[in-house]
Amino acid sequence: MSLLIFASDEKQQQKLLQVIAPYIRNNPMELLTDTRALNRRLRQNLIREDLLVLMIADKAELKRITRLADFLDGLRIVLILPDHGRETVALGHILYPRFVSYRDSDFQDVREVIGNMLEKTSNKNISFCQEAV
Amino acid sequence: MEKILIIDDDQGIYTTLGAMIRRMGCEAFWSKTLSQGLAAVKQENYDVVLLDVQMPDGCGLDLITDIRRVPSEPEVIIMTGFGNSNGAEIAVKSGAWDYIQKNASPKDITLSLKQVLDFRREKSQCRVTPVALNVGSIVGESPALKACFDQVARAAAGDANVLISGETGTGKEVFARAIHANSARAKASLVVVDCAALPGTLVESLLFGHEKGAYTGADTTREGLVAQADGGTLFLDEVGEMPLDIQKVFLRVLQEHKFRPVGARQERASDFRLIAATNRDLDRMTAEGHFREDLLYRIRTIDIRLSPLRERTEDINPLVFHYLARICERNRTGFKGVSSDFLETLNRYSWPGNVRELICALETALSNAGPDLTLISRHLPQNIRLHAIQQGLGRAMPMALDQAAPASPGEVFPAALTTFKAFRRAALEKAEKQYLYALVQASGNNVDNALRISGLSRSRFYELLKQHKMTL
Repeated sequence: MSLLIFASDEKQQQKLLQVIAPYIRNNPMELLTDTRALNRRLRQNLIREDLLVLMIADKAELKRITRLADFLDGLRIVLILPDHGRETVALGHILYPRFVSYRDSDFQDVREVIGNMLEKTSNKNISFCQEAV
Repeated sequence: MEKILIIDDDQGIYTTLGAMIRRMGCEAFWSKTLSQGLAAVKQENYDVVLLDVQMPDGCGLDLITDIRRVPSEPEVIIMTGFGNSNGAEIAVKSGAWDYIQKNASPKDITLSLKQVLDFRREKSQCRVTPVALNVGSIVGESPALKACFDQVARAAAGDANVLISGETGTGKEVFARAIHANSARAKASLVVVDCAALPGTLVESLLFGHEKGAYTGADTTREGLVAQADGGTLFLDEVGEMPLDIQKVFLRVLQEHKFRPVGARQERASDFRLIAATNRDLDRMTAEGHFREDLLYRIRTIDIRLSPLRERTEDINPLVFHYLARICERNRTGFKGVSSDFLETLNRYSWPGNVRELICALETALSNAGPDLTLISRHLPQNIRLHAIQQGLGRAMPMALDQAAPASPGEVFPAALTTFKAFRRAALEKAEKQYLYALVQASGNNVDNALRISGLSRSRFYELLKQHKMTL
C-alpha cells in the first residue's frame, strides 16, 4: 500500500512528515504539494487501497478538493482540517474521510491511525492489486 | 384480493391448499408443470407462488430466480415432500421466502402465507411513497442485489438503525452512502467512523469530544464525531472492532441520543441516524462475549446482508462496463473495448475480495493495456488468469477423481470414457434405481408410505417406477 500525502503548507508538511516518519520508511510515499498535482495524480492509475492524507491549508483549498470527490472514491482518506468551524467540518465530511484531525494538533492521533490502517491492510494481504504484466 | 399460484403436479395438493387459500380471503390458481407456471407468472400479477420441488419437467428450485424476476416480483414459497438442508439453502439463496414441507400442519402453512402477505402489503404501502432511489455506484441486476435495493429504500424512508454485513469489498460503505443520500438527512453530513483504525486510548474522545484540559494534551475543547453527525448519519464501519467498554457507553448514547464529552459536566444531545457495518459474525462474537448482545439488537433494526460477488455472478459484466467507463473517464484514456476472453476470465474467477478486487483488477488491466484499444485476458492480474486456466482444465478433464471417492473407479467409469452427458445420464439412472429399491423396501410396499418418505407426487412416483421397469 502506498501513502499519498497532500500538503501545500511547507511548515505543516514538515511537521507531519516528521511525526509519521516511521511509516514513510517502510511504505512507498508520494508527496503532492498543490491541488493541480493532486488532480493530475488522481487521474493516473491508483490502487483503491492506497491511503491519502490530505492536509488542508484553508477553507478555499478544501472547497477545491471537494470538487475532486469523484476521483477520491474508494481511497482511504485521513483528513487534516484547517480549523474546527462547523462549516469546515461539514465540508470535510463530503470526502467521507476515515479519520479527521486538525492542523492545530500534534498529529500523534494521525500517526496512530495511519499505523492501524497500514497494519490492517498488510494483514489482509491484498496483493491482487499490485501486479503488472 | 391477493393472488396465489400453486405450481404442483398433484391435484390433491392444489385442492387442499386452494381451499386453505380461499379461506384466507385470497384467490388460488393452479399450474401443473414448471413451464405452465412460468408462463402464468409472466402473464398475471401473482403475489405468492407455492412451488413444488420435484416436478415432471424439472426441479422447482431452478425456477425461483426466473419467477422473482417478473415485474410483479412474487414471493416464492418452496413446498417439498422431504426437506433437506441443501435444498433449503439453494431456495433461500435464490430468493425464496420460505421452505416448507408438504406434510406441515395447516397452521404452519397458513402462518407462512400470512407472513408473506403481510410483507407484501407493507411493501406495497412503502411503494406508495415516491422513493426514486438513487443507488449511486451500486451496480447489478441480480435478485440478491435487487432485494437489497428494497431494503435500502425502506431504510432511507425511515430513521431506524441499520446493520450492513458482508464480506470485505462487497460495498458496505457504498450502501450506507446510498441510504443516507436517499434519506431526509441527506443535506447534513454522513460521518464515517472507522472503528478498526481509531487509537484505543482516544476512541472516547474522538467519538464524544473533550473539554479543554480534560487530559494531558487536550489543549482546546474539541467536538467529537457524534456531535458532528447531528442532523445527519453516523456510519460506524467495522463496528465489531469497537472496544467493549466503548460499546457500553455507545449503547446509552444510542438509546438516549445524548452523550457526555470527556471532562464535561453536562450531557449534550445529537440527533443522528445510525448505520453500522461489519464483515464479522456479530452473533458469534456475542456468543463468545466479544460484542454486547443489547447493542447488537439495538443496531440491527434493519439487517442488510450483502452477498459476495461469487454468489451473484450475473452482476460481474454490468460492474465491469460501469467501472471501466468510469476509470477510463477519470484517467482520460478514452473508452476501451473488451474481448470475450477478458469477460470469460473475469466470470470464472471467484472474487474473494469482491467488488473492490474487481475494480482493482480493472485498474491493473487498464494500466497494463497501455495504448491498446481492447482489453484482453492477458492484461489481467496473473492470479486471476491462472484461476481461469485451472477452471478450464477442470472442465475438460475428469479431475479429482480420488476426491470424489467412488468405491472403485471402474465401478463408476466405463472402460472407455463416454461423453459427460452420457455418463451423467447413466449415473443418474443408476442412483434413481437404487433409491427406488430402497424406498420400496422402507415403505413396506405401501404407496402412501413411499410418497410420504420420498416427497414425490403420486404421478411422478409411478412414472419413475415405469421408467425403471419396477412394480410394487
